[in-house]
Amino acid sequence: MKRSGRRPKCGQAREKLADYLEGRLKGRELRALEEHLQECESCRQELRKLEELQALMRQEVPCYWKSLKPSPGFLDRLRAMELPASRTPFEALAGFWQRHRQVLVAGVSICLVLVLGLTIPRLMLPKKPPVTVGSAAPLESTPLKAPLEGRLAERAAPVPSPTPPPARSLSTEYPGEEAREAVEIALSDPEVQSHLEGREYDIKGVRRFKYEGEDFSWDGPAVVIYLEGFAPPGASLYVCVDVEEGRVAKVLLLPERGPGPVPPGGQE
Amino acid sequence: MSQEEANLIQRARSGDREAFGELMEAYAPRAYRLAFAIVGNESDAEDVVQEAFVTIYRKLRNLREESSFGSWLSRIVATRAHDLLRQRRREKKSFESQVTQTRLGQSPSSIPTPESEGTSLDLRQAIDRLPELHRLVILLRYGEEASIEEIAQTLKRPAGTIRRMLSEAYRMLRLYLEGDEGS
Repeated sequence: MKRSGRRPKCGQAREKLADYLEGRLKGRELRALEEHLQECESCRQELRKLEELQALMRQEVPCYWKSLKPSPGFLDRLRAMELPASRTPFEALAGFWQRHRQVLVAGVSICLVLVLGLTIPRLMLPKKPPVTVGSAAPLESTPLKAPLEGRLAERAAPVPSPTPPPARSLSTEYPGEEAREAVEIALSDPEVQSHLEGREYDIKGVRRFKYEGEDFSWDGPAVVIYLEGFAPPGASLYVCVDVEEGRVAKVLLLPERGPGPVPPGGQE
Repeated sequence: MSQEEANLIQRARSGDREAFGELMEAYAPRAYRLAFAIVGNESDAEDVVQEAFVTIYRKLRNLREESSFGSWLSRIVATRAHDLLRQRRREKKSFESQVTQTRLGQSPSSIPTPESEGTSLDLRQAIDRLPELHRLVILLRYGEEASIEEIAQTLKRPAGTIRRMLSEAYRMLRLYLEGDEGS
């Protein structure tokens, strides 16, 4: 049976002759080359020449190699050479510092500048007062029209859920479990997410909220979320949550004080 | 590696200079040959070996296995020798090019080869004509009887590259020895 298709051609076979002589060919590659050599006189001749060359080198190169010798006094000079003390780990570190001190100083300076640049602006921000459960005064809500209600409805497209703020105590007029559930429901609502996306916000608490509008009325829990940089300044989201049904009943954007007239001369 | 050498290395590692002296004596000829094969002259090769032993002595505590002392020394010698060669080339660029031109212009028979005759003379000339790394591979393989893996470690090249260089070196040597290099 003819299997010449699997055998290497002369060029490929000659590439492998050195590996063959040094016993580095294995398995199919070895068998293919040996089959080729049986059939190809020219490659067998190449193999013989390579063997001769290797034999010549085994004979001659060691003589040449051993004839390379240092000058007569070299070994004595080596032994007489002053050797530095071998280094302790501390000395090795000191040596490393000496060699790379400029790079190290530059690296440390850059890190320092980065750390300061990132922390100082945060330290300059006004601190928010700590919020504790039950610390906020109850707010009696009165009906108020929600002027931005239409716009809110337009922006109700679902968006990826924002990362919920770290767990902390909430200002709430409801039992803790119910309040937390209300916050979770509110934050997972697409309309609320569309308001919060890309904006700093702060969950003020869960309050009892009364609202009488033209097409919506509510008397129940509302999650109040303060929005940074939203017009009008100090506006908050009032998210009316039906905890029992696990859904948001209505999202209203209202002034900071919530429904009802803002008292003249101050917010509190 | 003999037990005696392993003991010497252990003693040298704990700061015994006498033991290190004996180690230098044992390994210096081999280190010198490698350095000479790279830098090509006696005084630079001796400088390289001397510096390599200073480095070795300073870092001897870091050596984990006594058996790797030889290959560690070879690596350091090869690295220093190549560094020195590069430095020399930079320093004497114009001079170097003149020398190279002269050398390439010489016919094989005009290269001085004191103690050689017949085939060995031709073989040494042919080996001298090989590119630097190919020459080193041949010398380490046949002079030092180093394995492919040992050569790869010393020259910091993959074993596959060393195998390829070895095959190429055989082809070039045959061309040079058969007088076909000009054709």
